[in-house]
Amino acid sequence: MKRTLVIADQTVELEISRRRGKTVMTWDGEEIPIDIVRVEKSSYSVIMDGRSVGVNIDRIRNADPDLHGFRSTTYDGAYEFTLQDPRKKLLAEAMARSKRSEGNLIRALMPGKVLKLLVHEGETVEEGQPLLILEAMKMQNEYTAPTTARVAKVHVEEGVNMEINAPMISLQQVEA
Amino acid sequence: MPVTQLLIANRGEIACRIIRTCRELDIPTVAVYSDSDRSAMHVRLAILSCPIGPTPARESYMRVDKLIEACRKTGADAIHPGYGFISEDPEAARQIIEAGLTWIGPSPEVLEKMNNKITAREIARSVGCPVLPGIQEILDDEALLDEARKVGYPLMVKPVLGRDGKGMRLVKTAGDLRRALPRVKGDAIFSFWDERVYVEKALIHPRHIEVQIAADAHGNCIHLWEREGSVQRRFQQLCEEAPSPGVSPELRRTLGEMAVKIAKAVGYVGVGTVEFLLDQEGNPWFLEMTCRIQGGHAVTEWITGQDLVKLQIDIAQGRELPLRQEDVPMWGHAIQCRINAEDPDREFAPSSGRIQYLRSPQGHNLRNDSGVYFGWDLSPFYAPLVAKISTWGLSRSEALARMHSALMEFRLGGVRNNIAFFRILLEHKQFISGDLHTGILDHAWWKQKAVGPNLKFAVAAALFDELELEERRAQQPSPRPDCATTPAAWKSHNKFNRL
Repeated sequence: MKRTLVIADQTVELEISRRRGKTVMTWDGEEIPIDIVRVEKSSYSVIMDGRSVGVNIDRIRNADPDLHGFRSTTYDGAYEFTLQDPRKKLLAEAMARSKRSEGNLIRALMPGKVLKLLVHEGETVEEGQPLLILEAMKMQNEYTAPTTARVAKVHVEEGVNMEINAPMISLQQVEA
Repeated sequence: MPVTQLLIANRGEIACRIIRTCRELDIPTVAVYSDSDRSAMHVRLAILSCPIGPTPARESYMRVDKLIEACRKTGADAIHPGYGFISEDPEAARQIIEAGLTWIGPSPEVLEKMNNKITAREIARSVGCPVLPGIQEILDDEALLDEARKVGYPLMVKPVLGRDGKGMRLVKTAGDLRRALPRVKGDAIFSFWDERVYVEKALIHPRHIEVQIAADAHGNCIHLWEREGSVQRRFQQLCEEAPSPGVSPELRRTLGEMAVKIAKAVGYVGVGTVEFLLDQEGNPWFLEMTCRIQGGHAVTEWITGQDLVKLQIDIAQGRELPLRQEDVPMWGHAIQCRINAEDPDREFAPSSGRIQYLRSPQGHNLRNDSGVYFGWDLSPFYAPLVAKISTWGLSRSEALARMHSALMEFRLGGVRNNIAFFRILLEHKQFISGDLHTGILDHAWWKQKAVGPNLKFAVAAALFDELELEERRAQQPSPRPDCATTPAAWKSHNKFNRL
């Protein structure tokens, strides 16, 4: 079985197969024998080259169902990545592209209610200028413009409840 | 009045912790629960349980009338408020006492005085405790800005009836202050139904030191040393230790004496905490008094061997303190980490969801105060606390090493959490050296690299999971072709395939 791994800005071609009871992972062409067993529902014990590491996996739902999102936790922290079936025609670059444009989209960092909207579409805002106030965790949180920019689109209205990561305001860079 | 049955007006780990002490004391416990907490851990542990309303805390855990009614129904004659919710609300305490119940906490009069931060400052000043320069009077915004210039920036703007760090804001310029005032007032009204704010000189990189005190109704008052709670985010502590690595024996004595003086001046009866800031020269400044059990109390229990919840219940029953000041021990060192479902890499934004995996640490001199279990849904309505892990050691380095080991073992799946953050904190040079201050988390120096040393292991497990999934799918019979004729059937088939 083949998968393409995308983590941060890195892409790796992977393959995993069982041969005569042994599991082998191919990592960018390099064959690595792995000894892996499922020990609990979402928990694996992995032994590779004598080193034993316990890994818990959480599947993260992705907007694109062909990108299988994972959060794997080991003793040294969490790794977030996606595995993608290379047969499916969705390119990893498209993901990277959407990630790059992220910087111009203000998202809700916590679930909460939009208390006040301070800008209009088309308006030019300066760096640090407040854009809106989101009431979350019993606190009023001010979202400010990261750079000088034009407000391209406002995705919210006052009084509306926001999910975490919900897009709120799109900004467009203005050329100096 | 004797406590024969105790109702706990709280939830989560603190409710469970109180239930444990009550079991030891052979006092039957009553849990109350909101709609979404029916299967919560505290309900499972308590002997009696009583529903008190909808999920939002204001309509359940903070409804005093419902709590009193729950006491009537179940026969409880005392209420322990835990921390948060109604624990520091004088009006709640008054109503509970008027209903003929025992309130496990200081009197409503004391709560009223200490809740008002301006009155609290006055009391501290009156017993000779240094108080930071600030503006006491309630002024309109323009007058406040004028006065603020005289005090000098940076300043801290706080709600007068504030607590738990809610609404507090640090301002560095007059412009900041002007912008902050409506925010702080908004937060103050939202959380405390009161829009008064006051301004206090802000210290640069202070230490946060709190002294645990206990006072009985017979005029005895002792302190149980200090805790350091400098590791904070959003003015809320993440990690506590006792004793503080930054407090000398002389300062310890001074702080303890000041805390006892303040408690006596206000006529405090119960268990509480007097909080101080230490400036960079190590001078203490009174901050506020917290009139309830605190989230960090476990580290004090470790080094003194006392059970603070038992002390609270004994004091409420009119018993004398079991020990005098000179008998309060100080053994070794303890540290506590609050494991929260929150994302340290995204400004500690809370995470909610089902706990898909839970392996709690075990071992020597380790304590785990938790209110969750495998499969429990963490609701966004309540604090995202999963567990408080504390360890004890003969020395600070031993306690820290033990905590580090515990964090390596702790595994939590399904929600983002701060376990890895704490592990990195415990490897941080500044933290190890004990040179702490409240700004230690101002810059996100702990941010995880996406690609760590165990990437191949992390990916191998996911890849193997995909393989097993594919193998399971291959064994399933393929859908009959005639099902796929209508668009609706095609859609559901497609969906099924992607589960």
